[in-house]
Amino acid sequence: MSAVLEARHVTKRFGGLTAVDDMSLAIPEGVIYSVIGPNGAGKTTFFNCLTGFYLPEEGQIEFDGRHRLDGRRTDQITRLGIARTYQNIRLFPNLTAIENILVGQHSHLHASLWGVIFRTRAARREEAAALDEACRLLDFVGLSGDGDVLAKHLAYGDQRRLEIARALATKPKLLLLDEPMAGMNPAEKDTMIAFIRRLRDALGITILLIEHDMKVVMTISDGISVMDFGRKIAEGRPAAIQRDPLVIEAYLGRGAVEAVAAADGGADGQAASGDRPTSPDEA
Amino acid sequence: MAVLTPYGRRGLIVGGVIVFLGLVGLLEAFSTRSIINVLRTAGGKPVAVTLLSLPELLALIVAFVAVRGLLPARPRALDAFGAVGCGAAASAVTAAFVRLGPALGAGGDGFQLRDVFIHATPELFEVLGSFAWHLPLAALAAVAVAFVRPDVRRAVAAGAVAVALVGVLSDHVTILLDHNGVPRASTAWFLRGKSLTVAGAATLFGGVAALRWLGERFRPVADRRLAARPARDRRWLRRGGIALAGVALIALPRFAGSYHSEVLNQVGLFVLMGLGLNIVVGFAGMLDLGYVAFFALGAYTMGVLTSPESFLAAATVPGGPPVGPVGFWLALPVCIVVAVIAGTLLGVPVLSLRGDYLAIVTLGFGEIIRVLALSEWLRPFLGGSLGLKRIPPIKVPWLAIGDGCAARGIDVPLCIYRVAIDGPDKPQKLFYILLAGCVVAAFVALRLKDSRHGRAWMALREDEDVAQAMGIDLVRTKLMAFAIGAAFSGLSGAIFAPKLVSIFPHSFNLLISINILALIIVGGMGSIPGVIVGALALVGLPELLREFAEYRLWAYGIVLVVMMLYRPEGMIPSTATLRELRPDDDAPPGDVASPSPAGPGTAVAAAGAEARA
Amino acid sequence: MRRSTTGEQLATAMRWLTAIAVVGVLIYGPFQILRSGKYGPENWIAFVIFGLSQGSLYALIALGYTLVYGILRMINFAHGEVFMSGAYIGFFAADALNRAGRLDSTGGALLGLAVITLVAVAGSTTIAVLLERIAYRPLRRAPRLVPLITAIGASLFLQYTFSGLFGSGLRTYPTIDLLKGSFRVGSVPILKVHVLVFVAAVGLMTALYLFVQRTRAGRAMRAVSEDKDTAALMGINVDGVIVQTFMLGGALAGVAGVLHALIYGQVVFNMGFQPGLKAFTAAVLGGIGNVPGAMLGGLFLGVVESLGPALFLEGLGIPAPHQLKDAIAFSLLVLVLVFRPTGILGERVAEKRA
Repeated sequence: MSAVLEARHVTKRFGGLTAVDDMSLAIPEGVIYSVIGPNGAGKTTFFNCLTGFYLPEEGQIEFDGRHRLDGRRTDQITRLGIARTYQNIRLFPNLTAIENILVGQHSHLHASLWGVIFRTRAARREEAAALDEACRLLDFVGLSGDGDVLAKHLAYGDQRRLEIARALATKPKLLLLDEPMAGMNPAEKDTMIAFIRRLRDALGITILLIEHDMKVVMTISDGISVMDFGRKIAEGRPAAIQRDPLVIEAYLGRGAVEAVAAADGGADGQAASGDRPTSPDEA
Repeated sequence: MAVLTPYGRRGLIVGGVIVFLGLVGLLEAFSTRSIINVLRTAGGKPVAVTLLSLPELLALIVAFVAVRGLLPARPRALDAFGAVGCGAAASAVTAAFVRLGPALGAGGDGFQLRDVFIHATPELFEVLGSFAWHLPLAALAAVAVAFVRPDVRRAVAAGAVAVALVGVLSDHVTILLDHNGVPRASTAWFLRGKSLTVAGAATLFGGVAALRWLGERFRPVADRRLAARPARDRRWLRRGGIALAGVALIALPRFAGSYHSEVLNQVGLFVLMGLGLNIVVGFAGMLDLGYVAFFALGAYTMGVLTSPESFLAAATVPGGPPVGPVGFWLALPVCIVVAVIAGTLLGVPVLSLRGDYLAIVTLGFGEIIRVLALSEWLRPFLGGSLGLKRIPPIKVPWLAIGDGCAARGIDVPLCIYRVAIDGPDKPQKLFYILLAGCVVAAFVALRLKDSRHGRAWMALREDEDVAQAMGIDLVRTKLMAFAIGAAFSGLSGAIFAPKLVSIFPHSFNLLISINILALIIVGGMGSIPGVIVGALALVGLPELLREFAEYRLWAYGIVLVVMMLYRPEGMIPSTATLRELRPDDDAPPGDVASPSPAGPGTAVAAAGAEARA
Repeated sequence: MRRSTTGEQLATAMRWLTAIAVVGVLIYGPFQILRSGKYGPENWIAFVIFGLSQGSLYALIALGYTLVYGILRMINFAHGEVFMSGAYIGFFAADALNRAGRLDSTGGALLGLAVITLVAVAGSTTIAVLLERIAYRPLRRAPRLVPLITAIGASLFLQYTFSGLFGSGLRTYPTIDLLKGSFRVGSVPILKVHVLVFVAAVGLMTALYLFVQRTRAGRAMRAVSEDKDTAALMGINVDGVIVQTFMLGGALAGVAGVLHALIYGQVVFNMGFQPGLKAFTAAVLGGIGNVPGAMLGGLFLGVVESLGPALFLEGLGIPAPHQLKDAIAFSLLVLVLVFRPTGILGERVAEKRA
């Protein structure tokens, strides 16, 4: 399996602060990959480097084995096939749900000025197809009846799903989800987990996830990278990560590492990081 | 007692405001106009005596609004008392001013109040002195109105507005009636001199109020009936409506006469520019304060190309004859292309600028163009302060309007009514050209709005960074908005030049940019009918009220501030602006002409689901 | 690696062309004019002095813009009218004093100037505060376009109110003998008024700088500039601070108005528009929100405007280059915003939270 995304030694500095430090990552195609770490570890900054919002000082980012991403503009990166959602939802508040999704399709619509003004058959067909696709996406995320509702009037969970629908409209190969579960209750999280899995299985999209809920992360991820202070401190499958002393230290401090080592001892086991996942291995 | 203090305070403020309006000169300027007059006999002859003058009306409105704002929804006797007191306080203030004013001026060394406040004239004191019982009356009216049902209230308001408008514009009404051959005798019961008669006012008031009330009552019924009909019928009704409007517009110059056609032409020029700026500001959210630059470029290009006096006309290819001026229709596309190029070039430096900076830089561009047009340096090309002259009028050779065509020996396929279009340059001819231009512009704007370009602009306006993350090329999208906006403005300028025959740099100043901005804001940003309403209100009305031209910009200032404070979405807002500025309202009526791109989303989704099923 | 679009290529091409053109003008123009010897050193020094004087006025007005922008993120489009109101109201005081013959003696003139300035400042400050209270405060949380439009409307309103109340004609300031004439530095005559303007401006600007940096109230201002809501949580009366800011800006503009009137001798209702615009340019030049930046920007703009036509344009053979003085100022604005958007000294405006 080729790597859909490969980041090599990516470093981003803001003045004296190194937010992302020599971050390297290789994500195979068709997986759900999570980037976790304590607050301020540099995860969102890393995402921003991937999408071209920030220009990293060092490092290369390669997409799909052939496109260099670093130095490109955001819209170019999107057109290559990477989409994202945001930690604090950033929908277009005064556009309706359908309009938000239609904007996402922008790069796949090619009607010229002439076509638009004179409503040529090609332009009309494209518009109708776009509308159709937007409705399908709306259905896919479970917002069927809400097409005409203003984005800012939607419920929080619906907004999150709309944001994903909008990202899907760009027909991405890689989808970056920045804390998609924030503010959800367990039931909603379960729905979202199933949904993200569907994205991977039904649409063949590779997912890169930032998430704080350890249960979710351990449940859903095929692979995990852990960041702290901008650097990658651990990488691997969920089970390994749970037991990694560096990870435990990052989240809970040195004392916890010792406590766990003393109390635990066994190979199977309870993790000591974040929330206690009850079923660690389902990958 | 404490309850009455706000009334007292408000009364003092009202009095102060009225004195202020007087000192600014507005009351004096208005005193030449009356709204309603009556016939009285004086010395055996019937004489028209003013019953309600414009200054009085103004004072009544000020007092009314001020008291209304203070009254609770269900005023009690105490409130009524307070309101009257408020009116009395206001009257007291004006009376005091009338008393003290002249006295203040009588100080030594020949110092007069008039040296400072130039409008503190005896006439002003006279006008102010007549307000004694108007203000308490207005206050009482405000109280009375609170007890009336809201729908009746709205109807009454509409009637009052109609009376005020027609009263102020009564001389225009007379001109129009004359032009259309309505004998004076038949309207004498309605209009007399420059104002309405009591009977006229009453009829107008009653009629408009009744219409408004009936309209409000039956609108929901009509809407429901309309919604119940199949979409195909609705579409035909809509087309019928548009056709009707089209016929009305085509017939309009015939009934409007030359003077009012000229007014409509002014409006048309600004509608054209407004539609363009609407794309830049309303759709894409970029505040362009230098929009007049493209207007100037269009006009000057047209002048340079078509005037026999321009440098281009005199220029010679080496060894050949002078190039000579070009015809209007050939020059027109060039003007538009020049404007588009300019729009693109001027858009480049501002691509990364934030809203306020963008405004100032574009303003700077507008000023740079004006300074260049005025400069000595470019005088050989652009005429400097003397401008470009002898720009020939627009010829529309295949269209003549007038049944006198044959008689005048004009042999053309189309003869509509009495005005010969290619005779002396008549405003009516220009009206059709402008109408065509506006229709094209509105058509393009409408189509763009519901397209991927329009959505890209709106996304840009909402959140630039995320828009880019959606794959929207910011540079291209912004430049396109600028270019298309510039094209409309250039077109307007190209028509403006032959209209004026001579163009001067001072016609292309910042105030025009501000004017256009104001009208799209007042009309409703992003909304195409809003542009038309805005132009009628902010360009048409001042043209009709030429005698008060001194106060035009002052009124603009007040209108802008008041609108931003109380109704920032404008009079006919587009659905998008309404959503942005009135977040708590539900499904807005907005403007009918631009439905959301998805139409009824649920219906479409349902249809889509059906199709897939 | 990075493919740029046609739009970007166009932008880059334009940037290069502009840079080359500007450098060309900056080198060739002065070269020609200095070579021709049309202007001697006294002329150049005179240009610079005039520029510094005009620039001082711009700086004083620019401070008002920069303070308000720093705190409210809005361009107070009506600030030019605050400047005008100071000059105009000062006129009435000056006129009254003059009629009463109080300006004839030296002592009287000094006292008179103080009174005129006080009255002017009172007027301009009142107008500034009224502006804030009536037009801007209700719109604090509105989308950015709305207060800008309101400011434009307020500007028009103020201009034409003054025109309506006091007439559209010029009002001439009485001549004050104390201020007539010039000093001589070497062989160069410097008008007394210019010195007064420059000294007054620098003094006030220094005082303002110290105020903002060293006093408690100044600190509160800076806090509110950074983050209104958090400042409120720290117990700062945000509304009060904002009013103070407007008052400060208004006062400085009022002083600028009087100084302007002393130099040019006249006031008219629309005198505020151009200086207001130029002053805003100056504020941006120096870096918006940056107090020393506004000062520097103002002085720089004044000198460039004064020297520019003669130094750069005349050498290129452009007739009557002083006509293009405004174009130079605005071109400078565009150039700075394109090549150094944060201004000469850099912006001090709080970052927008991503």
